[in-house]
Amino acid sequence: MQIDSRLLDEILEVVERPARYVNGEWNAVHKRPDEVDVRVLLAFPDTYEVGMSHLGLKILYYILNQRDDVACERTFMPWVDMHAAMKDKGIPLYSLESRLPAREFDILGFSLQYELSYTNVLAMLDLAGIPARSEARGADDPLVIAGGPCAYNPEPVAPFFDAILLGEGEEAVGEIVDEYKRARRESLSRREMLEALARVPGVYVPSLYEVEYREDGKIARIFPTSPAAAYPVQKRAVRDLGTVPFPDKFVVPFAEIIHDRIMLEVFRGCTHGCRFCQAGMVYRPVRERDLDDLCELARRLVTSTGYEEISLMSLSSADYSRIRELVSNLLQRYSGSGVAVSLPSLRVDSFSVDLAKEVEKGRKTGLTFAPEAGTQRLRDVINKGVTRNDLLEAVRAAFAAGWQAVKLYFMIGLPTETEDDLAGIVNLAREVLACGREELRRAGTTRSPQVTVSVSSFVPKAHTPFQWHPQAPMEELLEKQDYLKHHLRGRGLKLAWHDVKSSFLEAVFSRGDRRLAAALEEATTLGCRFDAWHEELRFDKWQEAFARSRVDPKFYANTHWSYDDVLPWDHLSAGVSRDYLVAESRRAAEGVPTPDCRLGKCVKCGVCPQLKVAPRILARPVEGVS
Amino acid sequence: MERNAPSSPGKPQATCRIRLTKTGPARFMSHLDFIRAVERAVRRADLPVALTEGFHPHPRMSFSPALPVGVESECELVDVDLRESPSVDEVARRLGCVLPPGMRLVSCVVLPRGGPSLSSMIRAASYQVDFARDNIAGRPDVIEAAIEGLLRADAIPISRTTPKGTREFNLRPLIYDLRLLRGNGAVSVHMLVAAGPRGHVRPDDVAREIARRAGLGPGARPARIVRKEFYVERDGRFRPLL
Ligand code: SF4
Repeated sequence: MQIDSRLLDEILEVVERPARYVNGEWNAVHKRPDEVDVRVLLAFPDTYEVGMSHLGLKILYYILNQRDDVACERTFMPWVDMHAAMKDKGIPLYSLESRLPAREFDILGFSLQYELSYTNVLAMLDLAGIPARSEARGADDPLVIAGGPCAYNPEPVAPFFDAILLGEGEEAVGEIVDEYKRARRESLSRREMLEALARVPGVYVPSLYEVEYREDGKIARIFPTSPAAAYPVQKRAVRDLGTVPFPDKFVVPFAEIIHDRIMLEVFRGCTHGCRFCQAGMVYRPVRERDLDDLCELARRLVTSTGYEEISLMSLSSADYSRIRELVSNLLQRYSGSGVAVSLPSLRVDSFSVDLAKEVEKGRKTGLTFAPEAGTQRLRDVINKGVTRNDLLEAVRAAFAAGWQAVKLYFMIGLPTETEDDLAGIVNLAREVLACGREELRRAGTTRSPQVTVSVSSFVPKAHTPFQWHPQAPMEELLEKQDYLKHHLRGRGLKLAWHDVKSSFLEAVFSRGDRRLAAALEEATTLGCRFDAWHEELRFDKWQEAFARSRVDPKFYANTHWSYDDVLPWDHLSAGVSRDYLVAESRRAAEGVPTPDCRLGKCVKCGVCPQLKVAPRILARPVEGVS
Repeated sequence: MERNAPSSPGKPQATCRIRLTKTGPARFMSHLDFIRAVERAVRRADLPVALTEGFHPHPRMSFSPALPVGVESECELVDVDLRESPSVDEVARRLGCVLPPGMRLVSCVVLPRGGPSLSSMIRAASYQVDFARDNIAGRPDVIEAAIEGLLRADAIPISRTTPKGTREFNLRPLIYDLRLLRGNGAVSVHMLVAAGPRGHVRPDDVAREIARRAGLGPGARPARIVRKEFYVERDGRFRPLL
C-alpha cells in the first residue's frame, strides 16, 4: 500500500532540498491509517516551504488529528526536479507522514490561497492518479474538496472539486468528516453523498448548480439543480475564536520554511474597509482573542516547538485593542530567554512604529508601510484612511528610532487613477527620503536612508466594492511602471515591481467562471505549473492554452461589468451584502470615505446580521449592529 | 523551575558536550537546518542555556564540522554553554525526549568552562561507506582494487566548486586509512580522513573517487555514508573525542 520507499530515498539523494520530502518532523502526528475511520490528506498546491508557513493548514491539521477516528496527513507540490523524478520513476503523490499514495485517502483537502496555484492543483491530481474532473471520479476515488480565500470565487476550478468550503474551517471540517462517515455507513451513492455534504452550512457542491450563458458571453443565470443545494451558499464564520481549538503544537520542519516561527493569531477579520481588499471583506467581522488566552498559547507553543520567535499574526496586528499589554507581557516573559516577538503587519502611523521599536530592539532590518496610492484623492477613492501627514509622521518616527530602510507599498491601475496619482507616488517617495535624510543627520549618523517603492498592479477581486472594475490592460500597466522607473531614480531610491503578466492571470482567474477550467487543463497539459514563481511562469503557454480552449482572457480581466450583470460568484455569499458593495462602489466614485466599524459604530456591511455574529473588540463595544 | 523566567544571559558556568546521531530523515538536513534543530531542541528541553550578547541573543553553542546533505552520522558533537552545572543525567533526561526522529542522544558529558573547543581538538573523522550491492554485482574485489590504487597514488587531485570559484587540491595526504569491510554480503569501506579547520575531507569526495576507480558509472546508485567517530590526536595517535 505504501509507496516504494527505497526508490523514493534514491531520488532524495539527488533532488534539491530533500528535507522537505521526508517524514518525522518534530510534532508531526503519526497514526496508523488502517486503524482510523477516515483518512484526510491536506494538500497544499505550492512548495513545502510555502505551505508549511500557512497558519490555516496548521489549524486544520491539529483539529482533525485531535479526533481519534481521523488520521490527517500532509502533502505539497513537489518542486520541479522532484516532480520530474517522481513522474519518471512512477512514484505517485504521497503523504509525508505515512508515505501513503494520495489515492489511498478518503478525503483530499486542497488549500486555495491564490489563483496562480491552480495549475499545481491539477498537476498534483495528475501525479496522484486521480481524475481531474469531479464528474469523472467514481466510488473508489477520494473526495476532493477545497477551502481558502479562492473559495469565494472558485468557479474556474469548480469542475475539479467535489465540494468547496466557504469561510472558516474550525467547526466545518468536523461536520464534513461526520457527513462523510454517515454517507459511507449508509452506503450512499456519490451523488447522494455530495447532496449530504451540500446540506452542511458553508459547503458548496459545484456539480449541484448549473450556469447558463448569454449570446454576448455574459452569464444569464446560475441555479441549483438539487433541493440540497443552498442559494446562496453562506460562508462559515466562528462566533468566538476562544471556543474553537488553536494548535498548541506546531510541526517544526527539518528544512527552513518561509515563516519558520510561532504564528499567534491575535484576531481575525479587518474592517478598515479598503475597497480593493478581498481579505478585508471576506474575513469580517473582527474577532479578537482574549489576552490571557494568547499569553497561555504563546507559553505552550514556545515549550512545544522551541521556536525562537513569536509572530503576532492578523491582517493588521497593531489594531488589536490590547496590543500594548500583549506585547509588553510577551517581551517581559521571553526577552531573557532569547525568544523574540515580531509584528508582521504595520499600520501607517507612529503608534505602530512605537510598537515595532519595542519589539524589534536592535534588529532594525527595515519597516514596511502601505499607503497604496499616491494622492489623497485616490486614497479616498480606495478608502485607505491614511494621509500624507500620517505617512510622514510614521517614517519620521521610524528614522528617528534608528531605522534606515523603509519600504512603501503602492498599487497602480486602481480605478480612476490618472498621471497625477503616479506623480503622487514619486513625490511621496521623495518626501519620505528627504525626511529620512533629515532625521538621520539629526541623529548624527553618517548612514543614508534607503526608500524602496514596491508597486503591484490592481487586481479586481470577488466580493469587494471594486469587483465590477476591470484591470488596466497590460500595456497600460507597463507604461505606468515605466513612468515610475523613469521618475524614481537616484540615490537612496529603489523600485520593485510585479510582473504584469502574472497580475493579468490573477485577474483573469479572480473574476473567472467555469469556462476557464478548460484553459487550466490545457495550460497544465502544456507544462504550466508554479505560475506564482516568477521564473517558472510560461506566459506564451498560457496564451496558447487560452487560444486552444477558445476563451478570451481579456473578457475576464479587462472588461467593465455593470451592477446588473450576473457575476460568476453570485450564488456564493461572504456575508457582506451586495447593497453594501454597490454603495461602497458609488462612494468610491465620489471619493467619499467610510469609517471602520471597530471604532464603535456599525456601517451596515451586512455580515453580522446575516451570519448572526458580532464584532468582538476587547476594549469597546460596537454599536448599531442589527 | 519557572520556564522562561526572565534571566540575564549570564556567565556560562559549564559546557555540556553532547553527541547526537543524524540518521534517517534527519540526514537530509543541511548544516544550518541541523544547527536550528539543535537550538530548538535545547529550548524545548529547557536547559539553562547561556545566551550570546546583543540584541538578538541565541544559545551559545558550537558544532563539529558540517556534514554533507544526505550523509548520516553517529557522532555529531555539540558544545552547549550553560548558566548552571546540571548533572549529566538531568541533561540527558531532558534532551532525550525532545529530539526529532533520526536525532538520538548517544551520550553527553558536562565539562568545566574554559576547556579546548571542538574545532581546536578535532583532527580526523572516520566514515563507513556502503556501496549498493546491485552496483558491485557481488565483486568486492573491484572496490578493493580501487582502494589499493588510491592508497598507492602519490596525488589525488580533486576540484571543488564553491561560490568563490573552483579550487584544486590534493586529497591524498588527507586520507589516513582505507579498509574494505566484508560481512553479510555488503561491500563497505571504512575510512579515516582529516577533519577540522586544518584540513577537511568530504567523505563523498572519497566515495566518488573510489566509485570512479572501481568503474561504477555515474548512473550507479549512490553509496550510503555514515560518519562514525571524531578523533583528537594525543601522543601521536588518534583517539575518539567523546
Ligand atoms: S455588520 Fe456592522 S459591525 Fe458587523 S462587520 Fe459589518 S459594519 Fe462591522
